[in-house]
Amino acid sequence: MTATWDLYAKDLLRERPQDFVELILPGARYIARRESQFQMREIRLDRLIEVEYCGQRILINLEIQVAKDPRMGMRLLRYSLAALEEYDLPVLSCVIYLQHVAELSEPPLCWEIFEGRCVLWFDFVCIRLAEMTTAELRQMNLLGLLPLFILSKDGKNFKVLDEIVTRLREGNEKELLALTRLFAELVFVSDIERTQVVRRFAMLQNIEDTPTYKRLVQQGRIEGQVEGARQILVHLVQARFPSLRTLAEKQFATITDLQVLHQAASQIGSARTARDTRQYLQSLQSPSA
Amino acid sequence: MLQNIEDTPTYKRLVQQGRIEGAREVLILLVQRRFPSLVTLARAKTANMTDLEKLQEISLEISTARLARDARKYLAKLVLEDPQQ
Repeated sequence: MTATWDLYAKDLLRERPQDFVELILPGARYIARRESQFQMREIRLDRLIEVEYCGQRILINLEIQVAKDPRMGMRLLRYSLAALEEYDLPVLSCVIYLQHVAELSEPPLCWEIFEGRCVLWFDFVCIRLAEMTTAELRQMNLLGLLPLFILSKDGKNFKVLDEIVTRLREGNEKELLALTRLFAELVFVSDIERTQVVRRFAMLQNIEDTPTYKRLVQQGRIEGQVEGARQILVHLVQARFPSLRTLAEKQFATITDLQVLHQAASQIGSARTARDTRQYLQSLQSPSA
Repeated sequence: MLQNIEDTPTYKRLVQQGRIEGAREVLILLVQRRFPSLVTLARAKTANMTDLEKLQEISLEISTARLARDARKYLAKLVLEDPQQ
């Protein structure tokens, strides 16, 4: 029944759109019908956590941001709605900027469609790490925030890094130490600074066993393995069938699956003629094809 | 400005390590495909290789070798040529 009503009411809207515009917003003028069926994009939040606050269960949606997003408020609103629909719990959205970003979209998000008429008001928490001091962060006395100290307003120095490392070592916080090392490499970028960073972490044992470090190793090594396999395959094709070099480069450039590259190695290695090799290269499909 | 993770020395080192592994794996696959009896030798000879160009060279030699005897010779040569071995 509902579906039928819905269907026919839509017909009514289609027939006399201006009348409905007049009903909703007297004085407004109908312009055009726009596509109203949306393909919703997949939504991935950085973190969604459930907490209890003043006896109430709520969700906190947390986004980490390093660059300006002029539609940050909209993004958080979309995430909040998705989380609310999924869990039926109130949502508090928060964005943490890891570095200074000019002209942030400040909370609240307010849709004022014409003077004095705000149809949507959405508040969120905005934390600008680069505007906080280490003293402010230190005052909170939260171990999990220590790796972020070097991103604060006055935190980019080795005295602060040493403080973080010392405190984390005392607490045997290997995972946080691994993250601190990673952040330090992102913050201290000159050769001299990086030597200092390496020196500070060189004596720390077991960082390489942490999930953070393992993930980094996995990501970096796989990227390298793919590059190494591609390089050698292009070299083989170039040396044996020089006219196919460009085709080989083009085809291998899009392949990120190591297994496919390994299969290619077997095929190219045993190919006898340029024609066979060309055929094989042409048969390789790029992932987007 | 914060750097990209990909620009950090640790990440670059890992990628370089991966490149060697990837090239080495291709070489082993070539040997396996063309001269299966030499796979163990190939693994042993290339286990500590860190020279990408040398891996490319030997891969080409393996892919163009006509006889297992020639391929064995190329692999054996690595001992003399690669100071890592």
